[in-house]
Amino acid sequence: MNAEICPYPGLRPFTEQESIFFKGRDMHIRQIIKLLEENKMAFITGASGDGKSSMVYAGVLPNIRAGFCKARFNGWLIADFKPQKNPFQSLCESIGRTIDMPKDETAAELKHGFSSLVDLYKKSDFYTDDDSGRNLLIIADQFEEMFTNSENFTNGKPSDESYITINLLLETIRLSIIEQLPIYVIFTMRSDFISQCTVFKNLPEYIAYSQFFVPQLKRNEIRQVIEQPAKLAGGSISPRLTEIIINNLNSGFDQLPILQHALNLLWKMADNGEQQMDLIHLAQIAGISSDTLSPSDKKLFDSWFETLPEYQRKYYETPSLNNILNAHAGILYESAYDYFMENAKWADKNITPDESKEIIETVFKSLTKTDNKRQVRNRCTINEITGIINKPHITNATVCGVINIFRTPENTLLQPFSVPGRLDTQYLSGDTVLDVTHEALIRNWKMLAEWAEEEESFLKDYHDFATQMNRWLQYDKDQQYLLTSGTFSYFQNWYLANRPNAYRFLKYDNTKNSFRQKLKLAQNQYENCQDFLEYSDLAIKAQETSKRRKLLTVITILAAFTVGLILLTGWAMRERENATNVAEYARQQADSALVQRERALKSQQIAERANTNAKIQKAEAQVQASIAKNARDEALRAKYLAERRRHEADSLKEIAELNLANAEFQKLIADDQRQRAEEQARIAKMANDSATRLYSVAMSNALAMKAKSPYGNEKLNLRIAYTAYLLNKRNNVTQNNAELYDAMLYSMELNDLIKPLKTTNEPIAAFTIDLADRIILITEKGRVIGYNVADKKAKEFFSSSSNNKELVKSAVFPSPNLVLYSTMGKNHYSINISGNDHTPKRLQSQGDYIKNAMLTPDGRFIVVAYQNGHISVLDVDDPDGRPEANLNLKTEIADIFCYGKSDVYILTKNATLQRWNFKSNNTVEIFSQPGVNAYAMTCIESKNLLAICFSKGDIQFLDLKTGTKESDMLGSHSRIEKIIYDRRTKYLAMLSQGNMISIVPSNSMKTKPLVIDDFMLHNFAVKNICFDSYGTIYVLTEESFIRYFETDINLYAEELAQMKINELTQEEYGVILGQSYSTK
Amino acid sequence: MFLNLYTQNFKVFLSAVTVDMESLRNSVKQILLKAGIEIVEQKGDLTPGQLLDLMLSANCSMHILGSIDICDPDSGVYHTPPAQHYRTAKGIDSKDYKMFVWNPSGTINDNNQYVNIVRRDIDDNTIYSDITSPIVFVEELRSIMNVKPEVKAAHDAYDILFIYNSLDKDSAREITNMLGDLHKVVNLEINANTNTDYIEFIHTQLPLCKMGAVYFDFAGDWAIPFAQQVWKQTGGAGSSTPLFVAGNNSHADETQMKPLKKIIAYTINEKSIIPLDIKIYYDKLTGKNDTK
Repeated sequence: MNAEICPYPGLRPFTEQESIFFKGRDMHIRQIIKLLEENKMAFITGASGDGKSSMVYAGVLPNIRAGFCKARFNGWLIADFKPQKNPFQSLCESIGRTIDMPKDETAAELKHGFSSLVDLYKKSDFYTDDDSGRNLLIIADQFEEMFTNSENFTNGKPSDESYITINLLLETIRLSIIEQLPIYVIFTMRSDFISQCTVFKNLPEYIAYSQFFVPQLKRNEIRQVIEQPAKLAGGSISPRLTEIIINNLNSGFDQLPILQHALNLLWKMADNGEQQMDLIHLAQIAGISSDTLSPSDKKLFDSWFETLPEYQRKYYETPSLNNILNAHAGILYESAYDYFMENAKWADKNITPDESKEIIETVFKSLTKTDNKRQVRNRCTINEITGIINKPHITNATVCGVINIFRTPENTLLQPFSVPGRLDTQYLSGDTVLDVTHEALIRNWKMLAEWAEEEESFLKDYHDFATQMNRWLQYDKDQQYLLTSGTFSYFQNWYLANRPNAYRFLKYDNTKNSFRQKLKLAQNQYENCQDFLEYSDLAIKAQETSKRRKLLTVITILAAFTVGLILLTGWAMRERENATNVAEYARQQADSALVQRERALKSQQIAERANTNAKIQKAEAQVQASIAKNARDEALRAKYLAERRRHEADSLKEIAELNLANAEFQKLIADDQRQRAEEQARIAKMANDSATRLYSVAMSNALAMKAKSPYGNEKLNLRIAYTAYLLNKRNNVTQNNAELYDAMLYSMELNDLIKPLKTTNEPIAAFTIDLADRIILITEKGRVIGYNVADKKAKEFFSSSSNNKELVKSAVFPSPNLVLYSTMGKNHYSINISGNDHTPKRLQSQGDYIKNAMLTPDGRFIVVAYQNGHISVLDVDDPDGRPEANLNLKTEIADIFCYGKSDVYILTKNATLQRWNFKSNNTVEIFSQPGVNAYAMTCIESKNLLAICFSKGDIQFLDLKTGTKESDMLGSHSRIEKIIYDRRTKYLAMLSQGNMISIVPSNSMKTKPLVIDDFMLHNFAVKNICFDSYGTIYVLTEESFIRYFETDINLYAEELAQMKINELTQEEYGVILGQSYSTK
Repeated sequence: MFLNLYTQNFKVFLSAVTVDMESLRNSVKQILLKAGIEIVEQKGDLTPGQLLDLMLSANCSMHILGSIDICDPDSGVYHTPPAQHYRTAKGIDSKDYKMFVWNPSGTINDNNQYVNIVRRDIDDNTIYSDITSPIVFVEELRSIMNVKPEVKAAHDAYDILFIYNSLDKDSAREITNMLGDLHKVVNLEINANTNTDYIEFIHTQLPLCKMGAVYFDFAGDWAIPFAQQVWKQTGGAGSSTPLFVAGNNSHADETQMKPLKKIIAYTINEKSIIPLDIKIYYDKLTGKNDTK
């Protein structure tokens, strides 16, 4: 079982790569593909969370790419887009990317609508007359964004960009039906927006024409969703768990996300599928009560449950399938702080656990909004969220670090997801957009649901507040539109509780403005809010002060009036007394004067009153002036205080920024120093390792040499060689060390573990190895024999009769089924081994022995080179017929190589390389090196190189086309007579004069070739070498034995390990080398 | 076009119930009849063998659980008719015979704790439901029993099923010619512009082969999703016939094969080496390379 593979994606949708685990919708996928085949379009609708996108991306799309949709071409172009905030731009971007055209150019082509898209496709390289073209599939995913984004749809009216997008798509479908073009369109849309589609002309008709309403999964299908992915990944689930899950799964909203999330956790709880998923695992993820478990499972559960921290246990109080998500998110919320402290290496650890929770709350509140009374997700950047949090010590780095636990591949509740070991996915840039992975999280994580409700309530109050504030702004901040004391108190409490700022207002700006414009507007709005509250507060306070002053004035006036009245009364009484006396005195004389006096008295009273009134009014005016002055002073003071606070805040911000920059600089210096220290440590370790390795190599080589000494105990030789190998391997030294290889080979031969293969008693002329690793040989008597190699023995499985009157002088196998040979009398024959007729066919004589022969890569011709410089091209089906072409170079040929349909590279002994095209009979000399001789050649096709061997053992690698020298190497100290290349292991093998065989990997030509055997030591002359399909080298010696050698010493070592050969002990080691050395 | 018309006829054995479920049983019986489902019931005393025969004359059985334990709570013996029916159905060893267990109360409380035991006893052929509506329960029963059995066409056994896209037919034929010398190979050329049901063919043929090989040269865009879909359709990691994807390195590289990593074996190599790679994979699979 592969622990990295989880067949259930959890809350996120299936990706195209995960299509292999997307089950339960097979029939629906086939139905959608049928719709596409027949109608060129499919309009897929369904409820939120029922897996429309997964069905398209992990179902329909992989099937289409796999060739299961009948279409004109085999290849596909996929242009997928989401309308987002500008559907036309999104479409152009996707089409441009698909057909490799810049977005602006694509937009210019498509802006006229109607047939523009079809014309663009037809003009592209992908619409061809032959089979090499590609069908075009356009996917308009989450089509409801045409209506949910206010930029696309405002007050029941679509934007111009929406109109043109719909026009292009519908017209493309119409034309592809009429003209039978291989263009197809898939739409996916939430079904609750279907009625709004009527605003687009023609769209309803097309929907009716090819709609696919995603059906709710039936019991059988849900069973597949649950069971099949586990089976595909090599795991299993108990039938009772499947049944319980199916039963407990609520129908309707969030059915599939809840299910997938639960299965994802179940898989992990069951040791990544190593155990069978069962009821106990469901209980462990809080999906079922432990009371329903069997007694033995219950016991296991209880002991496991006791290990859980206290804060986790509360999530097991109400177990259910829906609770799994609640418990999962809740536990992450609780453990986010610890995760942050442990993992966020890039962030300052200057927050408290409570602040960590506040950050998570703000993040999730920012990522949700209410749309038509439903809580839905709301994408936000990290910059915006940090802005909303608005605390100097909480930076983007802190926010990233705290929420990362929700984004790990194991949790995936927030996207984008982080990738272990990739810092750029963990410490995100500020403009990264965060999003809740699925709205099911909002509906099922109880805490988030509460936060979302709080956010909704905030928004409602904000709207009320903004209405009043806007009226105030509309009337030039007129005092009478400020808040009254009751509403002020309410909104002040709201403001203090939420502490909104510009970023929080920005979240609710649905205009088409740029982010910068929106931020500026939000900043204005924020300042206006503050002013509105501040002015309202001042006005209310001023009003209250004014009221108090007025009351005081009235009381003062009343008191003064009363005193005046008392004084006046006393005076009047005194005057009346005098007047009575005078009247008594002058009663008769002054009747008329009495009337006048009374009038004068009245006038005087009025004057007195007037005077008193004037004084009162003056006092009142003075009080009013004093109140106004106080109010103005207070306002100025408040303004001054506010400005001072603002300056202080700005200074603090600057200091904080400076501190941050300084801290970052310090961090950089520290990082640099750390890196340097690490580098030095690494260099020291390397030096140490290198010394240890050199010492071990020396020891290994010493042992390897000792392995070739006689001890009278063959097995000891084997153990010495094996110990030398292990020493070498543990220190990771070069793979094929010559001494080691020699020691291993020697000791294995000594122990009869490598034995020559005995074949026929007749002398062998040539041999080859076929694809099935069988030996095919021809004897000097002209008999062809085939051998199977098993258990280190050759067993004959086929033999032809010998009809020759002359002995074979030279023979070659152009392919395992075909042998060509020359007899002593210079007569030439071919035998086809594959059929039943093995009669030699006589070839036209060319006056000398066959030097080499090769098949052309298409297998149609045999190119035969004769020693005298003559070359013939023969038809494979008619080798004894007239040659297709002939060439006579009149100089001795060293080797040939066939390339392409009709090119033959010919190496002459005097070191010229010619390319002969036998179709056009054109010969070009592409290389020559005077004064030396060349002997053999092979081709490394993967690198387009020819390897040419010269007289002193040097090899030159030439470019196949131009003949220019690319590199060279010393392949041997003597002449290389044959060189072969194994395309699978990519090894070159060389047979040198003196019967030495050496190998070298073609991808490291600087390496000194490894001599794997020197046959001079055995007094055997080597006639030929050949690779089998595993890269083993087979060697034919003149005494007619066939020996074989592995190119990789590890294969020998594996054999010894299987035989359980022991390493030398410490004591043995000391005895053999005369010193102690730890072999461990 | 996509409607399931439920045209398959089948019979359901309606088990006896405890007294508290009698009335519901009668109601369900009427619903089953209206749904066009034939009912088999026990009438009179039967020996265990006769009961088994009677139950096997139906395609499935239905058991309704109430608040009274179907097993005799005093003796713990399954001698009550509902318990006998339940035990007999449990003992039927046929993957085609389904057992529908219905707990209409939708809950488990102190009165029906035995339902927990029944739930823990669920095996491959048991369908457990606690849906409260009898109509919905019968609908589910009908949809489960209306799955058409797969009819497999007769195919011959081969060593290798060799699949390629028609875009790569030339080079694919060279490879199959070489492979054909060593193994019994059946070829499948995929061409999008035909009516052949390839998945159906692969479904039937692949299990009869020792391995499947998906080859591509130019058609890399096709081969990777194709191999994934075939892997998925034919049993994935649990399949008895493994897949091997072979790509020509002139038009493919390692990054392209990333989606197959750790799931499906693959090679990228020169065209001429691909038959060798397939052969070596085949040898490994069949243990042939151990003999050398």
